[in-house]
Amino acid sequence: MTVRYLRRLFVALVASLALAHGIAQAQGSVTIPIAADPTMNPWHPNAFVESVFSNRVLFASLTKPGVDLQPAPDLARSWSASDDGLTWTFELRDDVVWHDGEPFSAEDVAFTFNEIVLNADLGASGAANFRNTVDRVEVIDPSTVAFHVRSPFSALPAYLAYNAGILPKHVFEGEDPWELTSFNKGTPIGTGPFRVAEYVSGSYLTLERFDDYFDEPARLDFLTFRVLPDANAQLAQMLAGDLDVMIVDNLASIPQIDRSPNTLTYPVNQVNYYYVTVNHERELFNDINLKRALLHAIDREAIIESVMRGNGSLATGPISPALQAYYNPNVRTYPYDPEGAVELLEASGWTRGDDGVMVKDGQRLAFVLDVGRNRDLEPISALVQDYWRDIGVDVSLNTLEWNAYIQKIVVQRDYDATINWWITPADPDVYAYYHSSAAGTGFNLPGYRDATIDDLLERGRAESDVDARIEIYRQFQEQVAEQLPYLFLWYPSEIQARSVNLQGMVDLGLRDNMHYVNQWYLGD
Amino acid sequence: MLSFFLRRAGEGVIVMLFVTIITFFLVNLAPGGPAVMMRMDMTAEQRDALARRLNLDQPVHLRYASWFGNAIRGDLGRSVNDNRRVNEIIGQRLPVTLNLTFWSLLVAVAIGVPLGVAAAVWRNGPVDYAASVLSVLGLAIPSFWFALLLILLFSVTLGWLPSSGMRSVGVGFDVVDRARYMVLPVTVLATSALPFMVRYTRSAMLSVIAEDYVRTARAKGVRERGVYFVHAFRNALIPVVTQVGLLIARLIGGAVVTETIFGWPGMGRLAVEASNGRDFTVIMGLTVVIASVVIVTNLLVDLAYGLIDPRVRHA
Repeated sequence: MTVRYLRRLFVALVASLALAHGIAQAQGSVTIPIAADPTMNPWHPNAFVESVFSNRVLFASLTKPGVDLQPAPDLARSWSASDDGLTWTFELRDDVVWHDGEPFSAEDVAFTFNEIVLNADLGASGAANFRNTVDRVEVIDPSTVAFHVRSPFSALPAYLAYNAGILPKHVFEGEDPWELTSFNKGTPIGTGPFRVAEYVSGSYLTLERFDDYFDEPARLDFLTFRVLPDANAQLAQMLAGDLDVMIVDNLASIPQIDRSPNTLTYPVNQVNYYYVTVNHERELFNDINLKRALLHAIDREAIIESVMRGNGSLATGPISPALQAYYNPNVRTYPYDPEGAVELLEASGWTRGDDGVMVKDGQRLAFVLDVGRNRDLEPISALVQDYWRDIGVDVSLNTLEWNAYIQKIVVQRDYDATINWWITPADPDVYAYYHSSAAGTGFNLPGYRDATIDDLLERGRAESDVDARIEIYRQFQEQVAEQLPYLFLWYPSEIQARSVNLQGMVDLGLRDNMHYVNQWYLGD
Repeated sequence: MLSFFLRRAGEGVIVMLFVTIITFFLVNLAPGGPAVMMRMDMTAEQRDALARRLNLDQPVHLRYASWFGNAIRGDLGRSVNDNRRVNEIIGQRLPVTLNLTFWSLLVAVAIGVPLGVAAAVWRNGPVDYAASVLSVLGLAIPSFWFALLLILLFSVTLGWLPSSGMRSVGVGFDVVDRARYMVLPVTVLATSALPFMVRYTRSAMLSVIAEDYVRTARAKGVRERGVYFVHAFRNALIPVVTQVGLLIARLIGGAVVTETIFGWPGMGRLAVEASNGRDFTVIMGLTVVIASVVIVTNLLVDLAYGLIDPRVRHA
């Protein structure tokens, strides 16, 4: 009797533990808003920011950003560079299967890069990060792949962690990758912890846990991305409990979110900076005193407090404090100093005209600040215009719809000055944004050319020793702060609104958190 | 009747031709380009490669000719940005908008017409004043604000109704579930259409009530109810039907604000997305569908006149 009783008790105990374990292992669903329909192919030119969330869940890449933002293993277990730095070898996991059950191998990696990313006729999104550096990708064996680069490229593992998901060769071979809509807009096959369960265009995308995921299986059953273009509607749904986590675009709503008993806000550092870019193709902006005066004239702290609601810190250069050791705060800084700004202008020969605007050689100091209608660029531009007027700069605002703005600024480079932001891979290698070779065609929007900066960027790219890289990029930041290819404004924090029940998120931006979505769970 | 129908159909074809030509050239004249090419993180080389793939390096008139040749065979082409078939995209979005439009108009007509008749019958009385106040409010309240107010009250505070979407995720067809998701967007859209129905019905009724034949009916001893509902109401319907036709045409183009806030993937949102992304083929597809609906609705309204008023005959 006693033995039977003990046996029952034991069985009940085991069952309850198993049940508790089951609940901890797999439970519930999390819903995230996205602003538009996703395109489920990380290399598709139509894969904009709204696609990044789901693509980082569906498609694993060779590396992913670690919690310290250093590249961490994903599909690759380890990697190393040859002594000459011209070959990077990645050892791949051998326990990975695609969502359709086919085995993953080095062939998929080589196909993704050789046939899609490096194919100049396709114009793949994000390809610019690789087309100028990677020559070809070679399969060494099913679990080993080699990236042959044109010149040493120490940032390759970090760049491979940035929207560089691997596509299945067995699905894409012989197909036009942009025309395979059954995949890109239907049921894609990836290697991530979730796979597509249901997609209703314009409405939602629901992913279900993929039990054969190569790493720790997801603890959630489902992940839903709800298409909600309106930021106010997103906020209302967050407060109503219909969403579990979102990036707060309207920073004025932070107190409202914090007042709600079911939601909290979290500020997170990110590799992102706002800037003013002036067009160096215009003679006017090749005067360093003018650029320094323009930066001194802006009360950036006041803008951070007002427009950004205190969520940001003054920027000193393109390398964010989130990159820790690479960040160099000991560079020339530009505190708010309108009197000093006027003195700098006067040192360059500008004098106040009758109407208060600076004049030199009969020419008024006047130019146009183009404004793209996106996020908070309009109020920021209006404030900058006011600050510049205070020092005698006659600035006119020209507000453009975003698509037309991109054409004018990025395609045609037909502008005097504009304000925008860059989000870059989590590495100090910003060659594509600052090197002379990218002026006029690439991401070097200001068209800035400086031999010292070029040299530092080339050395930084070639150097594989971390301490030596840190030193090079610290010098780079000093030079950039002196010469101001961009006028750096601030490093914004990302504000996340989270349901109080959502646990397991890492201390990264929401998009980077998608690499760790298998760790998320719902609980108290 | 047949000749009337054929004449109107011929006119419709000509209107359609002009609408597509004007739209195609205007869209191509607009600054910017397809979203796939207008990325911050894209080099000139990538942009050129995409332009070649999308045939955007061809002259505009050749591209129109190619589009037109396919369109008359019923093929509206593929989205410039995501390569889906335009017929398929519109096929997904149109039923959403039709659903929203149908129920909103039904509510607006079901409430607006009786209210307009009552306002006319009891002119300058409490009902008339109440109808006027409601109409002014309906016109004055911005849809986006009203929508957010309803969400805050019924979803956030009371938790009675879902705040967005068309159905619960993972739930199959369930009438109650669908109805819960429809209440708020239909309320917002119907509220914006209601004032037109009330004001037009009231005004039409007042105008008809003043007609000689209504006075004659009264003189013949017809009871007031008969005067209003047998003699006046049917004649007052003509401007109301015209208004319904105009509203259908307007709403098929999409209730952008309502669809955006409530996350309904309808024609309005598609139009905004396609315009922002310069998705030429989707814009053209929408133009064809919306122009067709306007042309057909106008034709149906004209035919309806004949049914409502025997004096109207189509030669």
